Parts: sequence; structure tokens; C-alpha cells
Amino acid sequence: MRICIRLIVALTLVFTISYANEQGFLVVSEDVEQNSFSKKELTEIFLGKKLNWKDGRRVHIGYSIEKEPFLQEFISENLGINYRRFKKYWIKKVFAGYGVAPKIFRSNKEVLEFISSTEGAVVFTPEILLKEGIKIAEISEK
Amino acid sequence: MKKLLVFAFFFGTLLANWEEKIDINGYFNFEFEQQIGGDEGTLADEHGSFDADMFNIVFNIRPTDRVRVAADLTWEHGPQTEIEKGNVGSEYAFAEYTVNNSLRVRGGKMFTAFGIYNELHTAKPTTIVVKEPNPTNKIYFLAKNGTVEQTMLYPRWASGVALLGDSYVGNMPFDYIIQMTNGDLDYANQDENQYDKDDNDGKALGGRIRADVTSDLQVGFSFYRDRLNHYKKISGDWEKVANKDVLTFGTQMIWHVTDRFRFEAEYVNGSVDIDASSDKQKFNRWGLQVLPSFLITDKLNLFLQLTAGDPNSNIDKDRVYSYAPGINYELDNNVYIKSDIYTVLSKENNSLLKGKDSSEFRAVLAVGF
Repeated sequence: MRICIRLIVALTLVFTISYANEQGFLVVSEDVEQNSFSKKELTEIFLGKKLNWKDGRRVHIGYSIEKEPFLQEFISENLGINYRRFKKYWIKKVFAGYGVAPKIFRSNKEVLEFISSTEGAVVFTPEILLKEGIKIAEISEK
Repeated sequence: MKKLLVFAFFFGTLLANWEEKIDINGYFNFEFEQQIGGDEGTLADEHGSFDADMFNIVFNIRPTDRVRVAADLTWEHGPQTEIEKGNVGSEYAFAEYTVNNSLRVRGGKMFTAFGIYNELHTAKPTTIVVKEPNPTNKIYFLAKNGTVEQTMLYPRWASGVALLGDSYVGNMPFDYIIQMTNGDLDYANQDENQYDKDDNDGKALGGRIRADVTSDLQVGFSFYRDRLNHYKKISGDWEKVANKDVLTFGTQMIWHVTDRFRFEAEYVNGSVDIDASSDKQKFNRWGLQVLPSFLITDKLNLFLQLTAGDPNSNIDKDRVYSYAPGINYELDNNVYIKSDIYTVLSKENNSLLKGKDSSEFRAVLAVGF
């Protein structure tokens, strides 16, 4: 029975990681209590409309450009605009004085460093090595 | 010694993890303009000139989780204060407190939040066009009758407070901003500093709301009203002779018709009302821009900027029209080369251009960082 349970858990984990690898990961720092985000919430976060978590701490956002097609898919699927418009949106927002741009990372190592050292962080990345201090969040359809 | 220690403590606290609290961005513009046709004595550059237009640093400092201090500092047209060249200024410098997603409170010097271009007009990497449209943004390039017709539809900048935020109507996201400020100074009297001290009791009120009707269509509405002192020079001194009421409304639309074809339009309509017993004036003015653009490739954008404006509804045949076909090429990430042929046509009773026409080649290198 225990072997069956372990086998099921292992297969589930493999399936989850394999599935996530097809689309990238939404990772959050360990102190973020929220484990699942709706598309509406992701839009608010990655368009800089949600500035604070429920406990008042600042939301820090970022994304990796290491495998850009993954990022383009993430933005298109969840924010409803293409990557070009997303970049234009942020350059206008920053220069007009309405916000602080997301951090941009060029490697998995940079993502890990940021997530590990920053409270309230949420980052999209094409791949991630799970370690202490990092959680993978789910994206719900609603 | 104690004071020094206290100062060092607070300074150190502020700068602890400073790299998390301070973000620095900016932009750079370098321009060239050359008249290539039309009449003499217009606003076109008859000699052909390079313009060290702008170098701006944008700071965002977040000393706490809910407070942001933002500033855009500018060095325009190659400033050399020793020989009084160029301009050094702050496009904005304010502090903002986040209450929640729907409410932020801001205080300081700000861009006037009106329409599409006023908050973006200096940051050339953000816009498709070479320059913002004059009829909706720089009415003083359409008219000149003493000082009245040049009264801005809304001031570029303002010192005051604002409420702003993001929310929804049903599932439709919208953002809003309401500003109460010292307002503007009469175009004739710029000896005062409206960012430091108001010259009358009245405060200006303005605002804008923008709604994302769909993910591809955004519409917006802006308004601005102010009561200025209307000055005249009497015996060498500026004397207030009347009140000047400014009221302006604007509508705007940005429509991503397809992934490659974008359509933008803005219309502004306003009035100036001077209640002087000896110099009573009241007139309307309006401005319009239509901007279709098409992405030929992911890097190359073609556009056609069309504008029209009437600086004084009481004067017949004083309108100014322009058209500017152009290209916008993204040379590298946030690095743009833009160019157009800008043609201006004026009607004979226009107080500034007096029926003269001009065509001008314009080019910009715009870098955002």
C-alpha cells in the first residue's frame, strides 16, 4: 500500500513537473501565503495594478527572458495581450510616473537569487530548480 | 556628535537594502529637423538643426511598502547654465501613498493627467510618432494674438494633490485620476512660480478616466478647469485686470484592430472666458489627432499622423491642418529611430501662421533604459 502511494505521488510529481515544463513556472517566495492565482489576479499583478499583498507588504514582480516563447505564451494566455504590447505598456507606465517596472532576469540563477532574497516576490520563469524558500504557484482558469 | 549619530542611523536605515528600494530608469532623445518645402517664416527649421533634445533620469524610491517617491529629472537642449543655454527641470516629483488597488494619494509636482500624450510627450521611446500633436497638446503652435489664444488647453505640469487608482465596472477594468492643483499662470506673466505659490484663491481641477472596453480597445475621457488671473503690463508692472476661465474636455481611443494594425484618435475641445470690462473675450477652440499605424515587421511600424485644430471659434478661416507619414523602427530593445515628413497647412486668418504652409523632414533617435 505504501509503495503504491509513493508510486502515485512520484508519478503525479513527474507529470506535474513535465506539464509545467511545457509552459514555464509561476514561482513565489516562501512568505507569500497565496498558492494559486486566477488570470484576473495575474493581470493585476503583472500590469502593476496590485501593489500590496493582503498583509500590506509590497508585491515584487519579475520575469525571465531566458526562453522568450514561454514568456510570450504566459503573457498572451494570462494577460490577454502580446509581449510587444506588454513591454510598451510598462515603458509608458514607468516614464509617465505610474509605477516601477518588473525585474527582468536572464537566467535561472538570477531568478533563484531574487526569489530567495526578496519577500513578497512573484516571478514567471521557464524553468526552476526547486529549493528551500521557493514555491510554485498554480494558475487557475477563473 | 549625537546629532551626527542620529543622522547616520536614519540615513543607514533608509539605505539598508537600498538596491531593493531605488529603481533608476530614463530616456534620451536626439533629433534633427530640416524644412524641405513651403513658405518662409513658419515654425519649420529653415537651417536644418541637430537638437540635443533630452536626457532624463527617472527615479522610483520606495522607502516603505506603501510609499513611493517618483521623480523625472530632465536636461533639455544641451543645458549650459554658465551661458544660459537649455533647460534643467523636473517633469515631475511627487510622493504617493497606496491605500489599496483602487486608491492612491499623491502630492507634489505632476504632469497634468489629460489625454494620451501629455504625460508621455517627453519620453519619445513610448510614442509611435516623432512629436506629439500640436492641436491637442501645444495650442501655442497654432495661434498668437497677444497672449490669449496661446492659453494652454491644460497646463503641462501642476503642483498639487491627486487621487488615483484602478478598479472595475463589472469585468471591465478602468483607471482614474483626479487632480487639484495651483493651476497655471497667465501666458503673459511668467514671473511667478505656480509650482511654489498660487497667484489666486482658485484651484484647478482636472482628471481622466480610461476604460479597457476589451483587451484591444481602450477609451478615455479627460477634463480640466481653472480660473487664472488675466494680466496686462501697466507702467512696467504686471497688473491683474480680469479673471480668465479655462475649461477643456477631451476624449481618446486606442484600438488594436489586429496584432499589426493600431488606430488611435484624440479630440479636445475647450473654452477661454475673460471677464474684463474693457477686454471681454470668450471663444472656443478644438484640436484633433487621428493616428493609424501598421506593423510591417515586429520592428518596423508605419504611421500616418493627421491633425487639425481651430484656435479661436470666433475667427473664420484660422484653422491649421497637418499630415505626417512616417516610420518607427526599433533598432534594439527600447531603442527607436523615428522619422516623418511633417506638412503644415494653415488658413489665411490664422494669427500665427497667416496662411503659410511648410514641409519638414524630422528624425529622432529615442532610447529608453
